Amino acid sequence: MANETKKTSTPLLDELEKGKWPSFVKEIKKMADKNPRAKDLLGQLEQSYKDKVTHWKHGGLVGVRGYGGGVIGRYSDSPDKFPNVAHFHTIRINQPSGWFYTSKALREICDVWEQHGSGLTNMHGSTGDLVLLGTSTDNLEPIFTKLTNKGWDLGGSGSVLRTPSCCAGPARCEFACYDTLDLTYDLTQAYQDVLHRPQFPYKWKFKMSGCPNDCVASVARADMSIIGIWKGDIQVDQEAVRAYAKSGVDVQSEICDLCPTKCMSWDGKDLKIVNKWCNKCMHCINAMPKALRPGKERGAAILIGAKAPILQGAQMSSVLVPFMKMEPPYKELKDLVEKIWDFWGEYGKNRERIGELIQRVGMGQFLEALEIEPKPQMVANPRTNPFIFYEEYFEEEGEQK
Amino acid sequence: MADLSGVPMDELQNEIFKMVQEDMGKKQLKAKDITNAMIQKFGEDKCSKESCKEAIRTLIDSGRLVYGYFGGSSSIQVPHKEGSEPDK
Ligand code: HEM
Ligand code: HEM
Ligand code: SF4
Ligand code: SF4
Repeated sequence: MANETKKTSTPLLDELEKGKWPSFVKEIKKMADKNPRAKDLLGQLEQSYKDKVTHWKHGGLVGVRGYGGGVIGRYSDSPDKFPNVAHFHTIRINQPSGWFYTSKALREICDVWEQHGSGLTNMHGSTGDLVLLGTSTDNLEPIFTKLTNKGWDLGGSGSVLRTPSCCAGPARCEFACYDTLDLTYDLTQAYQDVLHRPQFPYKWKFKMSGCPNDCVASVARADMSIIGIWKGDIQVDQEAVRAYAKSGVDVQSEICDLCPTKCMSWDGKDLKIVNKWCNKCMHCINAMPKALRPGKERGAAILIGAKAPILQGAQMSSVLVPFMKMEPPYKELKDLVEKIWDFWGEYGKNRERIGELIQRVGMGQFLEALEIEPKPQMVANPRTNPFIFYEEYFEEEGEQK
Repeated sequence: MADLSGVPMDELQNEIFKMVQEDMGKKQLKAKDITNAMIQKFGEDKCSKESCKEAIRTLIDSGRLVYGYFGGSSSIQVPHKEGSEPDK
């Protein structure tokens, strides 16, 4: 039999090494030479490609004491054939804000992992965590002890606050309208209990982006997206705009004509912006970063309800608070979050994301429960969000007529 | 826990443990289901969300109960060997 020879024969997987792009098969093979888990992983994967079915079973109950999340259990359905992957659990490690590491810290993790696991990692999982792939139940506590001694902690899984994540923000990016790294760290610390001990109807994700470019795609993935934004006028350095024009940028066609709200004009000398029409798409700022900057009054927009299709279809998040100051200790934000969690805990069905709950009860009901005033910014396009009724507005109008 | 008229902590823990044990294999109980059931059983004046939270925390930290996980969703269970876990 193939897997009794020293090297696992993997004709189907070998196909995935061809081409110019990185190959996960190539990486697993490197590790397979020194790690028996990685070797059996190759064997089982080849078997799956041959049989056209997965040979993984869902894990259920694995973890470390006191924690309800952070470890995702997997077992092989063919432990006799592939004994070294009989257990193949995944461990999520809470990544630092913005994914900044020292090489020393990474080496420490890798040392623990080569000793206790497959040596294979995923940098990073789509939730944001640093992911360690493949170990057995008896290794979990030793891994946990070694990692926590070095200052690491597990991330979230299951019906918890999932590991918050953010863009590089002010650490590297001049567009950042608030400190995404600090907020991420702050929320992670403040909400340790709900991160590790499942208390929610289902998962909850926070993602922080420093500006509407939304580099962590929070609008598509986070139950609560916290996206940096400014009030007032875009800062313009007219001299620098002229320099762009001189160096070949066609300001009219490349900047003004592509502004979605057509609020910019260019007379060959000065760039004018009707700021009250600007919808903060970032196009002009991205195109001429030396000349344009977000306005000086900065904060974040809070959006709610995005999710990938699991039980129901995919959904983008929609505006809940158009502008909120984002400064420590973030009290206004936390008050809002906790109010929403209470509402969700009270009315959410098992495995119902906040976006689905809002859809079920209606945004109007949701806003009323939270005592939030409907605002025009909540409407993505006129006539597409018919959930808001301006009763007072109608009353006033009626009185006048 | 200053409220001395409340259900004693160990009694609350035992009730929670019994509930989880009886529902094993039938229902995937969440913290919220347990809390609601206990408040219903003992009455709002004797039992609160906070005391249930503390009781569950103690049960989990002592290892008497554990968190389980399936399909991205969590529940509270009595420790047991997973059906999908292979025999060693
Ligand atoms: C000269 C006559 C009319 C003018 C200038 C006019 C103009 C308009 C305008 C500007 C809109 C808004 C479109 C939008 O927001 O996308 C509209 C919508 C509408 N009009 Fe008229 N309209 C006229 C006659 C009528 C008549 C006679 C009826 C019905 C018997 C009618 C029924 C509607 C309805 C149902 C809508 C809503 C469409 C929607 O929500 O998608 N209109 N009309
Ligand atoms: C069974 C009969 C009717 C049905 C099922 C119906 C259905 C609808 C629907 C689904 C809308 C769009 C609502 C929205 O997107 O917000 C609408 C809007 C409208 N309908 Fe009707 N409609 C009926 C009868 C009528 C009649 C008889 C009139 C006028 C004489 C009328 C006038 C309008 C107008 C003016 C609007 C636009 C309201 C707005 O956009 O604010 N409808 N109708
Ligand atoms: S989201 Fe904005 S602030 Fe954050 S890295 Fe991207 S461009 Fe910079
Ligand atoms: S940010 Fe977008 S909408 Fe605003 S002025 Fe620039 S291009 Fe126009």
